[in-house]
Amino acid sequence: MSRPSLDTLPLELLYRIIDNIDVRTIFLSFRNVCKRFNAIVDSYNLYKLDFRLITKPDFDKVCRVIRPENVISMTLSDEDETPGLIGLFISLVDIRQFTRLQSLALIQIDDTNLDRFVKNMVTTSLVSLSIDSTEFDHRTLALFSSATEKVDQIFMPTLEMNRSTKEHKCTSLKCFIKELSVTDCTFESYFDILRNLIHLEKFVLNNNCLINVVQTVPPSDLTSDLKSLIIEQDNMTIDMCQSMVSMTSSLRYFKIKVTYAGRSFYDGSKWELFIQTKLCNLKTFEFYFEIYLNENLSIDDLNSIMDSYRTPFWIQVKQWFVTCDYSKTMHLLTIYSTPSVQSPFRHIPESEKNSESISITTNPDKQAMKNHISSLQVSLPSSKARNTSKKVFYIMVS
Amino acid sequence: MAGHKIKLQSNDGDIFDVEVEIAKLSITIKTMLEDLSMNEEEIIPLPNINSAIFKKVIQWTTHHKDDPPLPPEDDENREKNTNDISSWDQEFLKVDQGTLFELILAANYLDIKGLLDVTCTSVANMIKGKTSEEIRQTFNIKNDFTPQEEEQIKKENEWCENK
Repeated sequence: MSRPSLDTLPLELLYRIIDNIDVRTIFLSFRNVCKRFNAIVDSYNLYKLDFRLITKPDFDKVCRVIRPENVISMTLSDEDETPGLIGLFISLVDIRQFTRLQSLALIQIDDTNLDRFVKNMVTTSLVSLSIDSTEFDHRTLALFSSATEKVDQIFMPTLEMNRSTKEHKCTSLKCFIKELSVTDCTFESYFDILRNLIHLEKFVLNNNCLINVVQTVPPSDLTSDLKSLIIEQDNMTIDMCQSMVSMTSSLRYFKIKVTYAGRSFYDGSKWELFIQTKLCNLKTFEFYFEIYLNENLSIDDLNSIMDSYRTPFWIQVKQWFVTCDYSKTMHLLTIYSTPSVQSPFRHIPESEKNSESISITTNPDKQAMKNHISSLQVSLPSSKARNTSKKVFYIMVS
Repeated sequence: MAGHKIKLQSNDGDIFDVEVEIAKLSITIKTMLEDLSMNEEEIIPLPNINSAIFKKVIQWTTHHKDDPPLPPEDDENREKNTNDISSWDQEFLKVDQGTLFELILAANYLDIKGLLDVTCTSVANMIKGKTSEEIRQTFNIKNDFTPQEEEQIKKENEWCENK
């Protein structure tokens, strides 16, 4: 009996060998060895093609002989090794013919190409979609909307949405996004996102991104497993803020920075009651509120405000310490958790503190207040600066 | 039970006493033992494997008997195997091509995934990066394309260069 050889191996074993060969060799060499291998390469229908390390001429040739319906997994990248590859792919093949694609990874894809994928991709068989890009906008969301109905897993470290998303409704987004960062969002969208991105763990609403800031009653059926929430926003009342957070009882980290905050933000008792009833799992609460007032506050008024942050809840149970700064001239009350999360931290020299400004803290450890400062802004009057010309300053920044 | 042995017979008549735990690395043998309730004195025939290849299989399974089990697979989730072959396996696979392909067939018949993976990877490594002609020469394969088919293949490969 003659001994077995490569060209007499059973089909399933040749498939297994093909699984271990690079794309270029399969389609440009192995396929052209003999009739049998040619037929086998063309009939195999479980291709997992990784195009991260292929030259453009070879990619061009592969795209011309590949049978799209035989591909179940594909990785395309515009990274430094293969710049322009995704655009070339789109120009060479009809994306709509990849009808059995289960897994797709698009690395460093730009908006234009993403848009083309959005418009042409067949998503009926897709179970895994990975998009690595820093230029996400509504088109990414549109892709999600069309893709996610039958997609079980979408791996996306961070999804960024910019201002063009404001009209977008995310109602069909059901996917595995763990972290989401938005730069534009309505209250309605905020709740939509929480409802639909059920695996979301970290949600960042930055750069004053909430538009149409009107209070919305949170949907009663909404439950979220969100662990971390960061909000940076102008013009907000505490009721709006609390209605946003009231459905996220699993929250462990909550950071909020509000400028032009409603005056009730400074009321520690309101926060205490809210956190005790709605955010039982909260471990870290970092905040910074700037509140412009119409009237002057006396030292007694400020002490009264700070008393609401001196309860056992704040000092003993949570060990969350709070500082308030008040500028009489600007009627500006600033209340923030310590260590401060404001960056850059505005340092006011003791000599500059006068009867026009008052600072009160509940933190017994003054040094600890500044432990987290990563950026420091110091204003020195020019006359003082001249006098310090021979002094050396040491600033330790953690 | 450790040390307990069963008898396995190759297709050329040799009988091998193999520890049950080692033999059970073959899913085929494991299934025979468990589903057919064969007793320890019965000789299990292996009609598709000769004694030379079976010795190699026992050598491989004995060396890998304590490896962690590989995850089950099916056609849909078959992952690409790593191209790294351990130095012991590389040494083990320094055999002529006929033996290598017989090992692949034996691993497939006996359903020993680890051995099948490493032998197929080894063959894939012999193919990777080679031109069609180099593959033909390496594996002694005849080019059976007609001149017309050759021309078509040539066209496919030159297409982009002429754009």
